[in-house]
Amino acid sequence: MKSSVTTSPVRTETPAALKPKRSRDYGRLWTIGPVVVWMGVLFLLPLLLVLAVSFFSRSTFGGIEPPLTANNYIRFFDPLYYKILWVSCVLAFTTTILCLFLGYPFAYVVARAPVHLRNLLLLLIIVPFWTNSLIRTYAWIVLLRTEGVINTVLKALGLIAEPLPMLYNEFAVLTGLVYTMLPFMVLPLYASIEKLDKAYLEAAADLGATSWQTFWRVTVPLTAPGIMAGSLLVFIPSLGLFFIPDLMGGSKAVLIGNLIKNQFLTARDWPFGSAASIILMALTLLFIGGYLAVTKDKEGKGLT
Amino acid sequence: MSHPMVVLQEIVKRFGHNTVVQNLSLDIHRGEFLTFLGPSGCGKTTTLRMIAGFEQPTSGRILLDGESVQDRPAYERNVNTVFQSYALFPHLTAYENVAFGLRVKRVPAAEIDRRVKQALRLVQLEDFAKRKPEQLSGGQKQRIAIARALVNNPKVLLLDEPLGALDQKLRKQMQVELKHLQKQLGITFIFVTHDQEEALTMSDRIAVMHHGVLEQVGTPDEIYNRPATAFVAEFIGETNLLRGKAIERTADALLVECEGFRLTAPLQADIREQEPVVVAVRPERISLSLSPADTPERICLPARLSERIYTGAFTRTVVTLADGKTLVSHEKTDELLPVGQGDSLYVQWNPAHAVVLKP
Amino acid sequence: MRLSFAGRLGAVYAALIYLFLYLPIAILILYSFNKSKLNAVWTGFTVDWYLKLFHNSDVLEAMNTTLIVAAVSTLASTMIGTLAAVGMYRYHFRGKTALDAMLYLPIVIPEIVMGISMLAFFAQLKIPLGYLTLIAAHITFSVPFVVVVVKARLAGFDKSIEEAAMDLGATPWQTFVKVTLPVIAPGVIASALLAFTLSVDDVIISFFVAGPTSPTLPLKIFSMVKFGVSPEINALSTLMLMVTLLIVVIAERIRLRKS
Repeated sequence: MKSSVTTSPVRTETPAALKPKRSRDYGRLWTIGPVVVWMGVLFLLPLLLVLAVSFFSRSTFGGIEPPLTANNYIRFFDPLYYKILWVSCVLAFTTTILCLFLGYPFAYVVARAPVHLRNLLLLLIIVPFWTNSLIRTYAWIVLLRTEGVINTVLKALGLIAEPLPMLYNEFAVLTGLVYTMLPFMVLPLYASIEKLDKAYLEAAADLGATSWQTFWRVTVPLTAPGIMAGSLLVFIPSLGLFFIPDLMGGSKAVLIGNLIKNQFLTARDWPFGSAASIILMALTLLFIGGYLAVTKDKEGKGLT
Repeated sequence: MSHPMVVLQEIVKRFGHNTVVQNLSLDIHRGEFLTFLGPSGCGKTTTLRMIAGFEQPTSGRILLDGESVQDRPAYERNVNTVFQSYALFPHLTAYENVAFGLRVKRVPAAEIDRRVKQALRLVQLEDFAKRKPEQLSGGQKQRIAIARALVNNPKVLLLDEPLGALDQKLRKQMQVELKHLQKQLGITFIFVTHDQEEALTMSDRIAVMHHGVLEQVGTPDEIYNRPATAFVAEFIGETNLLRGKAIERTADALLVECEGFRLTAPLQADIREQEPVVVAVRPERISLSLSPADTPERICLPARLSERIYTGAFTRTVVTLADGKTLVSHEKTDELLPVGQGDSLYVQWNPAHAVVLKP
Repeated sequence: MRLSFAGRLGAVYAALIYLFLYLPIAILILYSFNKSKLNAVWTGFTVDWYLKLFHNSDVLEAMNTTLIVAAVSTLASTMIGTLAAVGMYRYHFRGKTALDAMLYLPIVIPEIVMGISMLAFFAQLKIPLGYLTLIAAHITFSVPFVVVVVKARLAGFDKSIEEAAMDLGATPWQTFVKVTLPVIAPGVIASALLAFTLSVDDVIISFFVAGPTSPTLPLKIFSMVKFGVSPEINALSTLMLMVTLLIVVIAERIRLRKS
């Protein structure tokens, strides 16, 4: 690799005028080239393929065939399907709100904790953030199932005679989602609250604001970027985490993620599954566009 | 065979539609200390970067020791730079920073060790060889940066505002040391600064730049006492500018009329009769008196005292002429004219100390 | 230090949230050492489930797959992503904004969209699902994260030290190896750790692009969980948790030492 990047020293016979331009283009080629080729072929191209497939028809054997049609999108307006999208959005939204209400005071307390404790407390949030969400979902199944830990304990204490049906309902799905997504809400909140200069709070108090007024009029507006980023980081993945409804909702909860998965793997209707994916992605981009417009966070720094 | 060390030939540099350096030509001599001086954005740093090889001129030629180098990248030019931010490699010790240039050129280890130690001795930092840059003070970083550049025996040392980050006292000290070092080594130094005092103290010659144009090149004395343009006159030190008109040209002199007086100045080839001119006079050339001048050659104008500001050895005195125009004079603080604010007085100066310029 | 009432309330609240975050995991780990296979009653301490795990050829196979995929994809994505971050930092070129967007999208769109799009892509090209497709997919979703992390490190990078290296005679390649890379190394290592964790933990994208013969550990857990809870899953999950914990601690140490 070295010899192809290094340029030998200029000798008199070399057309010197070409040299610097060439070596700089090598630099560009070797740094930007791989990522453009890789992401272009394995990310952009497949995405465009899905867009294309969404306009084809399903063939008898589960493949795709002409004619080109918009039927897959029209079909989505069948109540059966758009209700799935609606329910998914409501569930993702509820998850987001719950995470925000649970997470904000929590992030606030951690961000205002004594400095010597703060790194440890932060680490304790980062660990679940990096932990496999499937395992974290599974942990709740261990707790909630009929022969699970909670029912066993409650029975042993004589509080219940029959086990409570806590798994395979919407409550279980919501618990799983909130549990999985909470760290994604807390981290951006923590970042924005920690950055908040205490002088603003003192200034507000100095001007006669009660701590409640200070919170609503100063703290919340100034940490709004964290709130927005956290909400987006919770909302979008919640729409697509198919395994939580699969494992915790039983057959009762079919969400947009499950719909897409089923169209590709079970029903083998790729055009319709693709159309659903495109709709999901369009919805996502709409929210991100809104986020970028509201926060003027041009490079999406708050999200990464 | 004694050609100049650096030749800049009709250098033009554009960034997009923005012309940063306009048609600059300049010869820099062997062993010279030349300073590019100008306000920020005047193109001085860009010029330096073109000599170093970080930027390519849009057009024009750069000769280094007689060889055309404008198309060579920085790593193939035998010049070295001391950066404004020092740019010491944070992951390497002071010793390894200085050794870097020799290592990439695959100089034998024993020679590297000898030369690095010598360079560290030159900047009096032998005891700091093992320190990382973060463990060095600003002045020490500065010296390491100089040692790192000099150890390569460059034909030219480029210094991009190297003293900008130091405090006033250290700065004065480094000015003296740098000048001393340059004399001792006899290397050509090209220095960039926006600080006119620094330029006047250290340079053999100063090249004043403004809006990408080379306004004047000359010794500090020439630049200060015989500025070629109104910009140079105003940028270097304090000056009084008076508007006037050229009324008569003779073989070697120019008669200029200002409001209230006339003076004769050495002929400026590019000023013609009836053209507007400005007359520049330094505040220390203007003296104040209670009575008019006794010799008719001296320019003498009635004025009133407006303001006096004590600055130490001299006092900055502002006077107002009959037409409302103000002039500044530097009076010796312990020889102040005994007048109060609003009192009448005379300002006078020797016309030989005035410079006639194009506005 | 004495806390005010609000302060104490806050501390209690934070403790409850930490309990909410950690109790399920703690119980999961605890029950991986429980003798009883069938129910949640504690019947005694054992490490049998761990031993059984190491005699389960399916699990070992999945472990193997996971490690190979993670190692290869980490190496490749760290290289591609680091070069990209350096190039985007160093050069101006046409289409830079478009490239930014292309690297930003995979981070924000739902993973399932990426998963099915790669499935469709591989199917169209008739590439059989397996190691190759898993590795390709993992590189693809890791690269944008590597770029983000390395770019963040480069944001505090003084451009003039690269110029200084060239000024001292280093070629662009020598400059990259001797100056740029050592200075951004903590960012590169952090990004590699992130890429490794992302690969080891990924469920959704792997779900679509892993063939039936090459499940990764999370996919193995997924199919095992479908058949119900078992102490073996607890043991496997515990092992994976330990790996994650180890990586997080290393990453944090790098972050704290360098900032």
